[in-house]
Amino acid sequence: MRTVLGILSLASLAVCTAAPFLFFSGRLGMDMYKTVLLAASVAYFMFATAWAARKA
Amino acid sequence: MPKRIARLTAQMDSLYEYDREPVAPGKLQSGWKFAGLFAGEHVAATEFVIGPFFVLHGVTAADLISGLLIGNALAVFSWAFLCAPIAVGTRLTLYWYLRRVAGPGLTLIYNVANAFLYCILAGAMISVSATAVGLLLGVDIPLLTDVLPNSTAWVALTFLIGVAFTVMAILGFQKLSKFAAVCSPWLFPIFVAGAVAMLPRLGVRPDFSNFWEIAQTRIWTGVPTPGQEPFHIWHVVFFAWFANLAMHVALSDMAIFRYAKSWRAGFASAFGMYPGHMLAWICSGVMVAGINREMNPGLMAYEAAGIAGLLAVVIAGWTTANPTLYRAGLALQSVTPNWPRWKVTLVAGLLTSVLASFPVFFMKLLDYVAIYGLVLMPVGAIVFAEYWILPRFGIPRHRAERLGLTINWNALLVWIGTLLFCVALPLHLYFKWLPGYFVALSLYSLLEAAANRKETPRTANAR
Repeated sequence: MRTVLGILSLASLAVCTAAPFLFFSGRLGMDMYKTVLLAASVAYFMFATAWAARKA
Repeated sequence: MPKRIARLTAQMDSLYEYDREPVAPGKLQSGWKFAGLFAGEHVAATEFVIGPFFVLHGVTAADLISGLLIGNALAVFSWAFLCAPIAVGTRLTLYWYLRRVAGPGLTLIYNVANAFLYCILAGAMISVSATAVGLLLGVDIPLLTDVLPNSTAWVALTFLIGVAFTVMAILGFQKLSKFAAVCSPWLFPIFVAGAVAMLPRLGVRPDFSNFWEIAQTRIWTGVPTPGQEPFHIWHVVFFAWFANLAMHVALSDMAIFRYAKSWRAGFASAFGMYPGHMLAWICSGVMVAGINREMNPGLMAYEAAGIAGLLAVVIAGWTTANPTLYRAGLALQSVTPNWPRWKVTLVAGLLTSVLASFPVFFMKLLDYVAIYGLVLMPVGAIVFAEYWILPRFGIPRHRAERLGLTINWNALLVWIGTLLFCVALPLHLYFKWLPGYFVALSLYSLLEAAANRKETPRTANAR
């Protein structure tokens, strides 16, 4: 389970990183980019916090 | 008076008791642990201010890149060649080593000075966070030239945020530290996202073909904002070098590197300087150019990354103010005997919250960072001279410990004398510390040599 949470955390970070490049290349609008970034950030905090808690 | 000092220093010693003994060999850590630590610690709320200031001071793109490459390399070398070898050699924190060198009285003074400097730094972080919360609440953010608070709403906002941070630091410092470790990897993509999202607004084409041209003409133009002094490559070099002067040259990070297997772990600081400072300063510089150079970290982050950007500003401020408040509380506790930790952290937090309402601390953050490093630098020079120079000339070390001195007056004289020398030096604030460092090294070595000459006949007569 911890590994899955770790992978999901990393995937959320990857989405955070990819979203602005998709906006920059014109494949996402500004509003959609900001929404995706926020959603991926929230997902990251959920998964990473759970991952860190299991580590302890 | 000596009794009071003895009581205060005894109180102070008890607070630091847990790290009194040199680190045991079984607790030593590999270099990669330090790489992770540095990468996580060096992206803070202040990065949202420092990068934009380089833009506002009219640094050119070429000066910025080359200045950051050189300055951060010098910072890494300072950790690797100054701080880590002494930490590995002594396996002690600066606190305990300084106590042997300068005496408990001077260590007390150092602690109190450090506490006030920490409070101001935490105050600047609270101010940065307030720009994000203020955007949501419609509070006017102070102007670049403001020294005093611009409105009652700003005072109330910074104070409330400061109190909230303080209460959280009191209630759960350890939990917040763990939360900060979770936040750090997320802050990197947010900085990158904010910068990339601003590029179309600045006119960068999707194939990046005109990026360098835009960087030179729209971002780091070489033209300062009215009222800001022009910066050149050496300002950038020195700023990147002294941004963490208290940690490397002034040796605070002995507390970290005493756990290193080898002094080479000092090079791991590169992970905090290049992916950390350099990347974050460049990204926040792009972001501020995208909002027409307005110094408003909250607005900048919101325009570039939406609500996630605002969250980043608040969380970066919160997670970095948290350990800063804790350290300030720890340092102040030494002069407030019998006060519990919560009470002293509350006092430090309230002081910090009041300071946070003064925009001068974050609008003049670069100068404050310079002063912070400058004030503590002579202590690093004293310890360096004690560890490396005195033995080379056959001068016995740790005079305060050997003679049971409360204060090594030579060390105090060097500290004050160096600062006076630096104040009088007709150089820009950023460049004063370097000559000051060599003055402190030389002066301390000479004074200790003279003290040793006086001491030797006395010892011989005693025999």
